[in-house]
Amino acid sequence: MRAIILDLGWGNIQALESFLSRIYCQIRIVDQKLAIEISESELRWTDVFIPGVGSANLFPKEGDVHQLSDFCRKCHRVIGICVGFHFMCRSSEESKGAKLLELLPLDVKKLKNQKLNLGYFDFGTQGISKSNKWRMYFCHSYGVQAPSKLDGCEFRSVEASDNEHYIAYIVADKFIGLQFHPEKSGQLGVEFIDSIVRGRVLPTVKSVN
Amino acid sequence: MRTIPCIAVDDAGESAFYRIAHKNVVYIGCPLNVVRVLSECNPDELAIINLQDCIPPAIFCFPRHSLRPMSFVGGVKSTDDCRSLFRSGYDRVGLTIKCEADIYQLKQMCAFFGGSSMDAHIKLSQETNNFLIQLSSFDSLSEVVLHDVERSGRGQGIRASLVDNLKRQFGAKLNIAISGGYKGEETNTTVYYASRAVFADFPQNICGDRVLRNSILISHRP
Repeated sequence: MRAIILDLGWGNIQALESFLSRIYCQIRIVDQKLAIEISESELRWTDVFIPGVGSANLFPKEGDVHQLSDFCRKCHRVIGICVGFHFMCRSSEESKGAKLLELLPLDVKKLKNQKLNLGYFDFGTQGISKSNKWRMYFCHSYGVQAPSKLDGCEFRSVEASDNEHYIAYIVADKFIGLQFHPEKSGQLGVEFIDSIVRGRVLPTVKSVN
Repeated sequence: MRTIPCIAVDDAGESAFYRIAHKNVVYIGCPLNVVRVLSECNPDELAIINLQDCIPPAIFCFPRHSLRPMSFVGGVKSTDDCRSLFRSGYDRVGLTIKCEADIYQLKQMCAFFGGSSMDAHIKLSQETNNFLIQLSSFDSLSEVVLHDVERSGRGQGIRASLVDNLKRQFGAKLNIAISGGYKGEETNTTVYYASRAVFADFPQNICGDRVLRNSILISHRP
């Protein structure tokens, strides 16, 4: 299986490359110009990663976003991490008016609490717990509020401060958004991405009680 | 209390050390090795403190060897420095706040990279309250880390009661943590800890693995 890391001017690209080398046999880092030149037949077997770490102020211009959106729809799978996930959504409060990829029918909102959501959280459980197997690293001040239901999508939410529930990960056909950083979540992060790549059932919520 | 191992680097990023009593430094070997070993112990985070005025090239390869979040502070002067650090895999970059101009620069960097990626490092002084008031107005900021010890080892040290007071005052808007000068008292905050307590006992405490502990201690320079 091959992977491409999209270099759009933000993100922890080198750390992500090192992390993905544990899972994929071939990894390429490509910028936008190179990406759109890749043939469709190659893209059919390639997973594309949009890295996290950064802000919406670094998103590309509208004309470039159209090309990128077409490119992503041709790929085998598109996985967005943190701000990369936000870039895959419909709109973001962080980049008011900016054109996004619109691969997922979701809107990014600012967390109600002014403090950052930082640290290790369990999916769908309250607060931080050491006993849960699926603890992932979150670091964000914007997120996607978890709806009660979303047709055609599987998602898990995490509880931030003030009883706000935000999407921790979402799978909508070949588009996958991760609010957490699997590359910074230790061996569990490797297992998570490995589950996606091998088409296994994704980790479900495990009770901490 | 959340303890984060802190790796101080010097000599062009080629050696790592911890401090005893905030003054004497003990060499603990190649930072790459230390990063790798500590990362395998699953700490919440790893912090790198650069003690030089400029950023040594060697530190850019540290995040490749860690599966845990990493933060960096020291010698960051421009947006380009920040961009290179994020690109290499650091999750958060800290800027040392000494005057109003530093706060302005931090604000610019927050606007560019997002507040969730930036830390503010402040040395305790009469101006600390003023700085914290200004930082509270930021849209978002990852963490404010308080110090009271200098590179030479001078400083009063940080009392947990003082930090708890500041947390009561500013805790609703800022994540406050302690680093240099911490005296070991119990406190309800994050502590970045570069000392024998972390480096000698941390792997054993967390993993109960003597081999990991030895692999760090074995590289001691007598």
